[in-house]
Amino acid sequence: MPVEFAAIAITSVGLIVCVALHAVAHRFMTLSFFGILALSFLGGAVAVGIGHLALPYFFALPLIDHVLFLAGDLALYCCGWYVFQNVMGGNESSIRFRILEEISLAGGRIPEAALRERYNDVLLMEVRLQKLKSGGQVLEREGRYMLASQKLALLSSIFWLLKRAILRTDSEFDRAP
Amino acid sequence: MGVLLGFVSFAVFFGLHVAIWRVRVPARPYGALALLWAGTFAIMLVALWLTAVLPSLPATIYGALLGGSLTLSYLFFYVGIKHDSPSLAILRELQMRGPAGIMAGDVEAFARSRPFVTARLEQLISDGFVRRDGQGVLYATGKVTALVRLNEAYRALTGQGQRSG
Repeated sequence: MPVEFAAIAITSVGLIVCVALHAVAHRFMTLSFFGILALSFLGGAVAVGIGHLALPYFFALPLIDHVLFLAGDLALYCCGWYVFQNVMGGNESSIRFRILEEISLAGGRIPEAALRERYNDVLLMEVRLQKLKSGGQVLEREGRYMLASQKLALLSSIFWLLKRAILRTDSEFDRAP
Repeated sequence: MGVLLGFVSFAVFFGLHVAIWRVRVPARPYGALALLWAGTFAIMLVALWLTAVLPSLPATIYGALLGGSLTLSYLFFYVGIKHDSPSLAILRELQMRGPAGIMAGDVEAFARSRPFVTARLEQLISDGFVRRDGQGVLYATGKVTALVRLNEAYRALTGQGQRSG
């Protein structure tokens, strides 16, 4: 078997370990959302690492090639984990998925007014603020909300900078007439 | 060779993407991004073939898988760049307002100035995932029904409740 296919197999095993840990942790452990993310990600990454420790016993390659394959496999693993989180696992807060789920739960058809009663812009913002408050990223004091997390402020600034750099706009709603 | 092919094809793709997008954002950006990477990868293979250093088939497969995975992940990331996140929008607003923050009573006005649910619903309709009839009833078109059902099944299997949105 070529070493490339062995490397792909190692990454696949890492992703299977990651998904299994994610499912088991959600089902049987009382970890926080981020705790489950960290556990599943690290578990799969360790499996990839162990696979690469075993690789030299089967393939005699220069050290630089082993390092390159380790870097490539870790990148592949991170991509797989990120896509999994977006599609299956952690996309808890996707607005599109929530809308599709509401339609699906209503039997595939729902009057728009009924959807908006269950899920609307104000409700969405209130849910997000409550999440940020319960996570300690936002403080509520004397009837005012204030930013408490500099890390999230930095993240928000990074996305804003990327939006400015690539799309040359501040917000998708700036383009609305 | 395969690892380098994957990383370099993604790096070249990303540079081209930023350069093109700053001039004009394509009408169908996700398809354009996928096509741009595929074109970049194909041109790199042709260039390598012309210089007589064509990688082996396993290396080409590994490079395609790595470059394609990086691009697919970037497509998901790009959604976050193209479309605002409600959480990041409120954080940015709080950051801009400084110590004064936002009055609890002003949250509703802020939400109405950024109609995320309305915008995403219209995108689902324009992308053909949802159909709205003349009476204002919304229908799932079935395009992503399998994915949504798979997602619901996984959430049920793992004991997760309904998503918060």
